[in-house]
Formats: sequence, C-alpha cells, structure tokens
Amino acid sequence: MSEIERLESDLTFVRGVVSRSAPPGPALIYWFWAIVCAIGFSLPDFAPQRMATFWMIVGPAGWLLSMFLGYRHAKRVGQLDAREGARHLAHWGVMLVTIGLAALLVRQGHVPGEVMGPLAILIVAFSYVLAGLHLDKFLLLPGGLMFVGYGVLLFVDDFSWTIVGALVAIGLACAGIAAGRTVDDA
Amino acid sequence: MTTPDDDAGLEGLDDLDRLLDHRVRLAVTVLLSRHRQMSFRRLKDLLGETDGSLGAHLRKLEDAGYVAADKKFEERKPITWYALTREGRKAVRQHVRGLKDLLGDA
Repeated sequence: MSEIERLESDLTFVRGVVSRSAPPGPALIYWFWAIVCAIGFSLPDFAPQRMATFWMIVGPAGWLLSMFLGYRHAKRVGQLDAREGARHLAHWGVMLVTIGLAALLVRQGHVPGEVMGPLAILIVAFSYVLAGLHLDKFLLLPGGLMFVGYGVLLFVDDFSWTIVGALVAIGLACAGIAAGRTVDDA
Repeated sequence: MTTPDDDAGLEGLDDLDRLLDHRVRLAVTVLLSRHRQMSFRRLKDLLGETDGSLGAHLRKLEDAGYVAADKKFEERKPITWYALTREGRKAVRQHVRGLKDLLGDA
C-alpha cells in the first residue's frame, strides 16, 4: 500500500467514525412530546377553554425538560457537545418565539382567532422538518405528518384536531422507537 | 510495500504532524474537535479499540499537550472525560489542512 493509499484509507476511517458519532436525542424526549401532542392537540375538540393555558405552560416547560433530558443523555452516552446543545435550544426556542409572535396577530385583531391553530401547526411542522433535515433525521416523519395534519384541519370538520394529535403522536412514537434502537445499537 | 514511485511528489509528508499520522490518534483529535468532551468509553466504542490500545494513544496525545483528561465520579463510577487543548486544536487543523493539500496534489 502506498503512502497516499494509506492516508486515504485513514481519512475514510476517520470519516466513518465521525459519521457514527452523532447519536440521536434520547428516546424519552420523543415519547414525552408524543403524549403532550396527543393531549394538547385534542383539547380544541374536547376542552377548548383549556387549550391556551395548556400550551402556555407545557410548551416552555417541555422545552426546559427536553434540555435537561438531552444533557443527561449526552452525559450517559459520554459525549458532551455544548455547540450542538445550543443549536437545538436555539432552534426550538425560535419556534416558540415565532408562535408567540404569530399569536400577536390574533391579539391585535389582524387575523381571526380560528386562524391561530392551523398557523401554529404550520410553524411547528416547518420547524420539525427543518430539524429533521439539519439536526435529527428522526424528526422528519413527525414533521411530515404535521403537514398532513395541516391538511386535515383545512378539509376535515369533525374531530380534526384529535386526528392531528394522533398523527403527530404516532410520528413521534415512531421517532422514539427508532432513536431507542439506534442508541441501543451504538 | 511502498516503492519510491508510489511516493513521488509527496514532499508534503514531512509537513504532517507525526503524532497524528496514526488513524486512531487522528480520529480522536477530529472527534474532540467536533464534540467538546468525550468519555473514554465513548471513544472506545466509536473507534473499536481495546482499553490498552486506546489508553496508549490517549497518553501520547496527553503527553504532547494535545488532549486534556478530566477524571470524575458520576453515579459512583469513575469516568475520564477528554477534551482537545488549544494546542491540540491548532495541530489537528494544520494536519488536516496538510492532508488535504497532499491528497489534492497527488
């Protein structure tokens, strides 16, 4: 083997190791959000008066809990990456802020209140798909299902929010199963 | 076996960091340049090395001042965390740049 071949072989080895070094998030986070979405998204059909309070509390609290679970998982795996954690925090934080800013449109009377729900789903779907492309591939499925859910909200009249909640919960549960398997295999 | 013709035009080889001219040590430093801290066990799992072999490579990197070790107890278990030093970061950057130049030329 020539020196060039050896160096190329070494670089291939390093590339392989680096590509294996990005573990998915902890499965518990996906399961947590699957339950939250199943409950939270069905509230408009069963207890619409509680929906705003639910999301105002569970949204930011879940964000903080996810941060804690992510940090604990990273320590357990043995790979602490502050930059990666900051990217996740910023991504989901910007999503929450965007939803808050969109809610101002309703509050200021620029758009009717019933627009807020589908608009929020659209923002969340967009955020999940972007996260799936750039942060964690397992989020692509729930993100895609959220876009399907947006279509359900537009074209289905009865229990549309419950259907959206079920779709998103299924997507997140699948992500949780896949992430759990990947971590077990690592 | 390497013949003189195989390595023709590889003067840049001398510019490479000899310490990083081993795939395991190169992989360790590249991993640590991407992730802030990694445990011994995580490195071992990713690299598929034995405790003794990886320990020896890490010791060489520590002795050169490229890597810093931090021994801690977590949940009553000893865990050694490794991080790249500023010197190590500079070395791996130069080495990878040298490799790119070399392989680009070849």
